[in-house]
Amino acid sequence: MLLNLPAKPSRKAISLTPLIDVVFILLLFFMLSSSFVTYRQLPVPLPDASPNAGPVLLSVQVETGGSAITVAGKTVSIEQGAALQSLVAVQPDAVYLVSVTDAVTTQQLVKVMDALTHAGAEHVSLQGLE
Amino acid sequence: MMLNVSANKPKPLGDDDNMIPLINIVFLMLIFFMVAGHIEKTDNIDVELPLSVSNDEISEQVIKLYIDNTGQMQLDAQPIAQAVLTETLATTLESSPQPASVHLLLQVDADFSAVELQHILSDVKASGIRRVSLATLLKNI
Repeated sequence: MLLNLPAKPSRKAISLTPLIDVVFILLLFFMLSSSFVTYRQLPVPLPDASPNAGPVLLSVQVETGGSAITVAGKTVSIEQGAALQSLVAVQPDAVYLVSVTDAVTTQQLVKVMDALTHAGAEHVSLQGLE
Repeated sequence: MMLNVSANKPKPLGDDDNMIPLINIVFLMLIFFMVAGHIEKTDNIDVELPLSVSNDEISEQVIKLYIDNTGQMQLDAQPIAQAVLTETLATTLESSPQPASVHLLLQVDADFSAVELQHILSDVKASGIRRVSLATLLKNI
């Protein structure tokens, strides 16, 4: 018995153009919307101010311009790594409370905190304002 | 003088074979941008973060407080006044299942006055939050 089977449809090559269109749109979307910026964080511990019990608190005054700091009466440039290190080495485990004046920007404050941490200070924080 | 015009004869159109290398490259670029980049909600407040050598990764669960160089603030994409900051943060802290792990990330503009920042930090401290950090951009030394 002969069966009248339908002939196998010949496979037509799919056109690539619509695919490329979609891929291009996806590519544009990901190129424009993705960001490659690496955000990091700088911890700012807020210790409870209890002068009786707790670590030694050292006040660090940032001078105008942000390139020099005064710790316990001594003024040191933050660019002088060795001088800052020897200053911090006296009391590395003290809490260094950075206090600022009006002209200091956040960038300069962060730079000072970086310099203190780099010099070996274990706890760097900000002086609270009452 | 005779011109050899036969070299300028256009190639037959509709031939997809010579497109394949192009698609390969486009696919590779697509995969690169999908994998290497990350998509995040755009901040509608203009903040230029300070540069720092600090290399601490930011943990996933943070409350973000944006402060631009004029002092305008946004707490998790909602504008907020400094007068109600302490109150709002204290409410957030109370409603958190683990108050000790509440972490506030300050996205402060690099040109923002540090004295003003200290005032804001005092308000944050008054709310009871103890884990606070400044968002920075990694500075390449």
